[in-house]
Amino acid sequence: MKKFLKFILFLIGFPALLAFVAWKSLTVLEEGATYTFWPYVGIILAGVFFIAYFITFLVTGRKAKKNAGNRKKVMAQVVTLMIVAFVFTAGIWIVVDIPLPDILSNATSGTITFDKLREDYDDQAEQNGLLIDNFVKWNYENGNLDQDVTLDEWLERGWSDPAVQDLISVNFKSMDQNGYATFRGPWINLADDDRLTIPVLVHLIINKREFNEELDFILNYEMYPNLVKTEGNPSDYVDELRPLTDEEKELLVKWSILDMQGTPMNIELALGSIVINEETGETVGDLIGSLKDVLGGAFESIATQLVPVLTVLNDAVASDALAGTPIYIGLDLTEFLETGNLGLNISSTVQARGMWDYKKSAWLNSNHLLFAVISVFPARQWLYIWGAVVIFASLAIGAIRLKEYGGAAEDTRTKDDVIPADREEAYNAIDYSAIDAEATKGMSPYERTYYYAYKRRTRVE
Amino acid sequence: MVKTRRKITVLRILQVLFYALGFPLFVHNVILASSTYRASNFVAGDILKSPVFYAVVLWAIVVIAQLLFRAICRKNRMTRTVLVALVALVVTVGPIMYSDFLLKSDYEERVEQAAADGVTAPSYEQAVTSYDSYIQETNAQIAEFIEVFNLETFASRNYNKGGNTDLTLAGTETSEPPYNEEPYTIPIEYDAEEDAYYSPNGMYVDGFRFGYRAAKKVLTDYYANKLAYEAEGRDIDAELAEALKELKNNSQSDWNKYKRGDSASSFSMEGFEYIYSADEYDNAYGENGTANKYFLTEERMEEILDELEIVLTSDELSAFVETIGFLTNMLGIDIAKLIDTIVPALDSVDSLLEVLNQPLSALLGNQPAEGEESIAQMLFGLLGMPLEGELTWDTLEELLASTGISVYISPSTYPIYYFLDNEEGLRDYAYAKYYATVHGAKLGSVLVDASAGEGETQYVGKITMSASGTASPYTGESLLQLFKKWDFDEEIQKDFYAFFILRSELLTMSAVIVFTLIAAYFFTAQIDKQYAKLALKAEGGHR
Repeated sequence: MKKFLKFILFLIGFPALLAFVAWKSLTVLEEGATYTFWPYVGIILAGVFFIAYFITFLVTGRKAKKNAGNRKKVMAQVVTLMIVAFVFTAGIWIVVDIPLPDILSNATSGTITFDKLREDYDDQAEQNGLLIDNFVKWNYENGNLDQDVTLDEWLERGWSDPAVQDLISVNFKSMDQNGYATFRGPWINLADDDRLTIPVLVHLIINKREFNEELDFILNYEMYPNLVKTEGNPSDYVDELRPLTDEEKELLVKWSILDMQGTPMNIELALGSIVINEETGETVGDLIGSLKDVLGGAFESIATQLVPVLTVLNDAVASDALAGTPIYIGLDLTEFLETGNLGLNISSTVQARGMWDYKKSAWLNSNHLLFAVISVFPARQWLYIWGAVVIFASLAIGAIRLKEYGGAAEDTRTKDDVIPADREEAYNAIDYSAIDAEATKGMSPYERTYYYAYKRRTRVE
Repeated sequence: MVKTRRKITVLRILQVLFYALGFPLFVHNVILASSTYRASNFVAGDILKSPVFYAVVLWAIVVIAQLLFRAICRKNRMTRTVLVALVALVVTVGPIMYSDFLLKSDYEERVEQAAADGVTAPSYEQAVTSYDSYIQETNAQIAEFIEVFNLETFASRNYNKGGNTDLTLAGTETSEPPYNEEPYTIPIEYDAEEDAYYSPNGMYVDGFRFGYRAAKKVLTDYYANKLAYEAEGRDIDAELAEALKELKNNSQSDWNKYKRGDSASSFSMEGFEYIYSADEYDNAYGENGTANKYFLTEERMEEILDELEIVLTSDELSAFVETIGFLTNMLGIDIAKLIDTIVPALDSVDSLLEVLNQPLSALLGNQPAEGEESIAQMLFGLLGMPLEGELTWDTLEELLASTGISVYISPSTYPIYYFLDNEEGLRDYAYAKYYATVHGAKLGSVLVDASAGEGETQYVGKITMSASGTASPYTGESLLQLFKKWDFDEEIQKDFYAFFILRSELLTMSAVIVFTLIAAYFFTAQIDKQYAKLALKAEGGHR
């Protein structure tokens, strides 16, 4: 019965804790499924703690059995087990929590905070899972990943495939060294901190930059944006991938500020609502509407003729005199005929090159480590929560062991209190009262008490 | 026996409880009462100015006295209690007396001085009771100031990753790319009092975002001088423009001597010294100058024009223009002809200026009307900067610089403002105007909206590609008045408020502290007495 009780108590302690950690880690494991052992780091850590506890549990149990009858020694085993239970649950984290926020902030340049991960680790895991999934998807679309294999198959392989790992590290290095690091001065930091002013943008485009000509970039096909979107052709990219020539593959890949930011700039030009005739209130939109029938099918073909013009313009923008790297200026005419409004799209090369913006690419480059870090947080949370239960279970197990092997409860009086009978007798045989009366003359009651206590001890012993 | 033990336990609890109700409770109260004060920007992080620190010191004094008296008068418990109580009394009542009799007159004197400056401050009696609301009021005002000018935090920030954009030393390239790595060669100095980062030329580094102190300094220099000129019926902007024109046009001005690299002794400015060497200006802005890489130079402009020309003369464009030829009648503009007129303008900066100096009708091939404005005059007019005479590259460059679109001052050269005469504050004003409008515009922390006319709303703070600024709730006068108030508040927060908080807590606690301390001593004596009984019993039957 006692054995069974001890077993149950053991189970609701650390093994239950492990189960909770595993359960709360499910999202992290799922999102980081292709990152081999990295998302398991948290569970592994909890497992190691469990092993340490388990060994202590066995050893203290055996020692208690061995020292059966010696209550003091059995008690020491109980105390040991409880201390180990505390240290390997909440104890260790109280210490780790002090430097952890700074370490995390430094490792991710302040992009992932301790407070974000403390409770919301699932959300972060989902974000980081999306990083790799979309990366694989884009690189499948732009032909960097072998298209003989299906996209689903590639998604399943994910980071664990060496081709994907290679793609991430080579292409991020280019983005980092021929992109981020080439922006001298404060300008890129200002842009990143929501301070992208016109002067900052001018500096980022005009400033001369130094590039590392040696750096490779993996890109086999050109994915070109659809420069003029119309109702008949609203897709973001030109349908066909153009294989790059060997010469083109050798060209240096540079990165613009727009690539660093990733998101395209969409400027809506509400021409349609401009009033052209004050009296009648006629707007540009009305005018275009009236032209609609005249233009009819010709509109699409006129729009198509804009494509080569914009291509020439974009080539000029990509020249060294300006950005030095492609920035695509395109028009969105999908609503032009209906409302007279048009959109100006200024997009970067990141998606065509199969990359995230700089910040997310940097995350992706060390995503395996991030998954390891994220996976620690469910473990941390439940080691804290369930720590009290583990400590309680250890105490309960200790109490049972004490009952089993501790023997009879010791007399709580100290040795000094118990005076052997023969000594007591010998002491009583002598009358010290005359000496004492003389010695304690003029003493305060307090001092007198002390005198008697001292004398008694010396005389009895 | 059991009864005695129980008594001892009760007395022990009372002993600890009464001790805890004294100094520990007092320190706890001070921590609670000072939370607003400790979070106030002026004193945050300054432990030695914290009332909590003072409270702990008072406690420590009493603890030390307790230990000392224990060593000195071992026998007489009563004497010890009396002495410790006396120390506690002095330590708790003393600060109240100090505050009420010494600090009060000092405080009132300062309030009087401030009142002469137009700053209203609470009386001593109000300040010692409602310190929290006064601190909160000032903090809220400063928080609004920070918000309006998009400063983000009270402290400033340097956005540079490892120095200025131009990291070269006096124009000589000394480090290999990538430049973002150390060693960078232009040192940056941090001035803790102003909370500002400076380049060797004495200007803020190019990634410097103002904190509260720097923004206050710039705005003070700007408005104090502007208003002083206005009071005399003068226009400081006109006088500044005149002074700058003189520096530029007079070949014997210090500015021109500096650009030429004349010997330092020939300058009219007293004690002038080059930052590095006489050729520092040439190294930065001459041929192959280090600063030329970071703004729109004439050469760079020509390269861009070349690219534009390629686009405009491309077959693709002419094919498209032909397709939309039917629009010519509708718009009344012959697009193909217009392009033909523009293309020659793109040959060089000079030809571009030539075209811009024509009236628009001439460009469209019509006869210009009498006295019609040139295109450049029209454009400048739209930007609120009337253009006198013809547009030259210099005026265009000036426009780009004054709007902040393209300007770069090398950290190793003096700006032209450095050579202004400061007798009437013109130089301070010039620097402040540059920081408030151009430097601020770069960073998205515009301090002054120079385009707003008298009495018009200024749009300041966050003006970026996606934000158009905040309507400033301030005028020049109101800002200067607020600064006076904040300066006064900073002073009294630093010099008085810690004591005021300590005083108000001591006021209610001093009697409690003395009483509970004596009580704790009393309970200690009682415990000892009970122990004596315990031991006596053991001895009891033996006497």
